[in-house]
Amino acid sequence: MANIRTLTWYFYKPIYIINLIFTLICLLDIFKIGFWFIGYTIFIKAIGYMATIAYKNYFANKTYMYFRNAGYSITRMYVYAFAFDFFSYLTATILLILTLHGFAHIKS
Amino acid sequence: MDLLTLKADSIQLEFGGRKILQDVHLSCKQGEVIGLLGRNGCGKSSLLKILFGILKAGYKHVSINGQFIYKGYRDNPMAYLPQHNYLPDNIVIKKLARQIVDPASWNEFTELPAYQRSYDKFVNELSGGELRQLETMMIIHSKADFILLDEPFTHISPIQADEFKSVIRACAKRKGIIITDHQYYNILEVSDKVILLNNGCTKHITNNDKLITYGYLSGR
Repeated sequence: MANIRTLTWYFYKPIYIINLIFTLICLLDIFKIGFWFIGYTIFIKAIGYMATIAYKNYFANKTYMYFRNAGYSITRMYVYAFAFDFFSYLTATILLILTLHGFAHIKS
Repeated sequence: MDLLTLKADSIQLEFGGRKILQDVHLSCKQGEVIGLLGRNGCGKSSLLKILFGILKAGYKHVSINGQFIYKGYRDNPMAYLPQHNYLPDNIVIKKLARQIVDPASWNEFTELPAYQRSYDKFVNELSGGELRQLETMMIIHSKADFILLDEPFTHISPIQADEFKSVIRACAKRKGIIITDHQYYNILEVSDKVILLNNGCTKHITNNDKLITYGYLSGR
């Protein structure tokens, strides 16, 4: 079996820009609207994932065979790629919250 | 070591009420090359896709040594060369090959001229023929026990086809290969057994004259 971390990166690489844009939109919304908006950003991220699937199914579905020949199903590749992306998003959100709290603490 | 046998039984497939495959049986042992012939639209590619698990059949029973295989790609019992190009275009060839090629065949693979010419390039820097040759070689040298090749001789020159045939024969010493192409003379040359798909059924060809009898060749 192929190295799943490397394969996940190969699968994620063409779509990370789309997901990064959605992540930045969510972080900007949290920054402007407030922390209570965090729950809603999950819907925004979900829309991003649907956009990603549509993009990949339309423009890059022929490359699916590469991942299947490496021994993995496409569903599994999406699960790994989105799990990685969502973990990155959560990390960025926590860093944003800590930074904003820090600034608020310094101000006060 | 026991040789593995891939068996496909009673495969049925229909599209919009039209029966494409209705009574398909085939078996392929490691060490064997099975040539699959048939007219356009007779279901050769569909059969390979069903074996690989990416096309849903009305009914199928695919097994390796008696063990049912639902998806042929899962955990690498089979590898499949589709008719289209399949390598992602944003990663260098050397890195892509590492994930597909069997580590035991890596040295053999890296000595191939197709790899030597392109290992540090991206897919979009290769010509159609070079890419086809490289993709076929990657599949042939993959970890899978059974290799399904859908039109490997298309888009390549006769001299490259000759190179392929020797690689396929060498690979068949340790793997089972099912190969289909419209260049029937290449298939006849490289195969141990030939199967003709005719009216959705498999006909085992023991004598090439039967290809004329079944209307695959004109005989002129």
